[in-house]
Amino acid sequence: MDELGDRSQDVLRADRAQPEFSRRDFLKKAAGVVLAVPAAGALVGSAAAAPRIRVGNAAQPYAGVTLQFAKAPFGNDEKDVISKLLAPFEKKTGIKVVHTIVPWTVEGATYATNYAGPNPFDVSYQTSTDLTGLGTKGVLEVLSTSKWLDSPSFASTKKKFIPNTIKKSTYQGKLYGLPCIIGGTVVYYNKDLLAKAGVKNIPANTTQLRAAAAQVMKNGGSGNWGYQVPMTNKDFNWYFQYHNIHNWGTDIISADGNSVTFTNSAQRNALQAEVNLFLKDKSAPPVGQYSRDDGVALFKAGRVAFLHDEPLRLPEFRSAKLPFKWDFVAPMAAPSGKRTIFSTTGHWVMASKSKNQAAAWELVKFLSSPAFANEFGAHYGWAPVRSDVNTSKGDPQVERINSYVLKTWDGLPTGPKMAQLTDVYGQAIEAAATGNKSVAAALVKAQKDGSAILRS
Amino acid sequence: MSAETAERAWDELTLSPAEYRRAGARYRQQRNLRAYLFVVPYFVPFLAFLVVPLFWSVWLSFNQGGLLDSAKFVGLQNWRVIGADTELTTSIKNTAIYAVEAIFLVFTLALLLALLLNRYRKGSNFFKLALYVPLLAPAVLVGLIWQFVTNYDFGLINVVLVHLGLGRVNIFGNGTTALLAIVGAEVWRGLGFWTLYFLASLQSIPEELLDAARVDGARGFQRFRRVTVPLLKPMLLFAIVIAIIANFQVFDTVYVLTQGGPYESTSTLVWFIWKRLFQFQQTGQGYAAAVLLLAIILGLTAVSFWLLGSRRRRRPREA
Repeated sequence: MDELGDRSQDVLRADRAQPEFSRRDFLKKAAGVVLAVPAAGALVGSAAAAPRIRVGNAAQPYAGVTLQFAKAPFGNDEKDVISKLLAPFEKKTGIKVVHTIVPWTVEGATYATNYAGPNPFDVSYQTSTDLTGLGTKGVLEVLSTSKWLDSPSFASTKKKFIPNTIKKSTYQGKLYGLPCIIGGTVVYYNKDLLAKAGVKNIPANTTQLRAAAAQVMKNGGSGNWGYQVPMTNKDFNWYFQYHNIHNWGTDIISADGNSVTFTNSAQRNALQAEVNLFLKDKSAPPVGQYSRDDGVALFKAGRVAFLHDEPLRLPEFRSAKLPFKWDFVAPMAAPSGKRTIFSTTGHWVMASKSKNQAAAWELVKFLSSPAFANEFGAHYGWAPVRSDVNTSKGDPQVERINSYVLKTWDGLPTGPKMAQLTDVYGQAIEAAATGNKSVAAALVKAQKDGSAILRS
Repeated sequence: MSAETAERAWDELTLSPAEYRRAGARYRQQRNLRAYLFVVPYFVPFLAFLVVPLFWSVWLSFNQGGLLDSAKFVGLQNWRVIGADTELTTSIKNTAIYAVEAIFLVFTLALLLALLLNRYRKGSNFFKLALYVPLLAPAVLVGLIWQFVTNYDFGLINVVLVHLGLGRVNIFGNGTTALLAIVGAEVWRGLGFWTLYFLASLQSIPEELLDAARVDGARGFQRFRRVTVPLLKPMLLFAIVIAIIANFQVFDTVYVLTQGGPYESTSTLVWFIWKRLFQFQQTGQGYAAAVLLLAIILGLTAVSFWLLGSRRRRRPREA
């Protein structure tokens, strides 16, 4: 007890020996601590963060920026393909790209509603049919300015673009998107079926194609077809007829864009050549009997001799290991010999309301560059629009497509009403190819409807 | 309490006529306020999502733009453009033909099935469920199913036709058959709903009336014609109104199956509107056509209600 008592007394004494600690002192110290701790924290934090910011500025100039990117896909694997190709870009710039798949069937509605909102896709892919329609509404950034395409820093790159692509995509002096790919169409053929039917030479023009397809119908065996091409408006039939119009030396709209030109003789001849395969020769399945995908399935099953479709079928046919020999040629020439390849042009566009336009332009430049376009174009069989882009990767078939395209490509003139005009043309093709109207009557209706569209 | 005190107390409690009116008004005001408060949860969305967009659409039908760019007043230009567009007249005609065919077919089949289910109760729950399932399927799925039904090579319709020795039909290569395919898909989808509707209507008919008719010697068809049909008429007319409204707005099946083809033969009014609004970005024309559709539906509904009303008005005289 004593020992304990002694010690307790010592403690008490020691406590008493402590200096007086007033309430004011306590408050002063507390205030000091309250102010000092965050200040010290901020100093420590900034000291730690400062070097990181400096490093980020050098290596990742857009660190923290997120871009909304949208595209209608060329294949089911496109999101993975793009993600892989964008990885180095994201690492280098610090930009995070959020990729939205926009199905082709709802493309128009999706972009219309998205661009109407306050936070549109920063970068998206637009074809020449929609490009100027959206651009003239003011939702797309005009790229043909000194800020973007005509800036001194982009001058050397701009020279690498095929001039015709820029020209075809420019409307009233304004370019709303950077051309990135050219598609095209090709005619695939089944070598075995042609051999069975006794067709020795691959046709080069529509007259020869007609004869060859008729020969397949005669000698190729029942259930087989000589020719297949998408012919319903639902399957974008006009897309597969447009080269014919160019080959016959005309277009659906005048050069100045002020009038439609559906009723000239060249236009009638072009459509009649195609319609003959369906209605006169019956070498092709009646319109409506098979959709575009059905037609491709028929070709893969060896039941179609000539299939007119896009080069993007190439990987599909290769991986399917078709049970017959096949190859492809450029779309048929007109009897005069003029042979062009048609496609709309794909463009990378920036939203005028994008809050990160500088970053968006970086993405657009990257998507257009060989670092992205070589591999992307090669994967889907697209031809390049720049001389420094090579999408073939040494593949002879893709090189052949590219050579067709680069030598003879003729695209769709862009304009705010081209989507409507191509729809009118699609209706005319459908009406003529089903036999509902004669070619001349179908085109007269197209002329009337098209003129009304241009006037409105 | 004396009688005098009680009378004075009563006078104090009794309100003067003016006070009575004020109290009454106050009560009615509070009662109305409570009623309005109950209505608010419905009325606010009704205003925000129906009334305001409706008037906004009418306004935009006189403007160019308004969705992607700012609206610019153009007077009647949009109305003139769609008025001159042959696709609009074709679309109205197609929609009307489709509606008549679809309503007639679905009502006939639904009524027959309802009569069967009403008569043969055993296992009827299974059939009710089986009939109702297509209604639960999304329109896209219905479209896909019907692509298989209508396929040229292996579709159900062509397989049956071949077995009957009639040969295959290129359903989507002909305007009439393509429209019938749309009708078929919608009938298939709506059959369950209308069967259950008519079944409920049939079951609401008093059994005594049918018994009385039976006692009077009426046979099956006579009972149906003389008792069932007259009693079903009000329900039938209401069903017609609802069916007209629904069928004039057909879109999803058209979108999936034909996209208006071949040569506009399955282009319906809503498809016409959709194309103008979203495919061509001609918003003013799209809104003008939408207002026109609204006017057509309102007109048809008014006629149907008038017919329904006139029946009701005539009934006492007939009695």
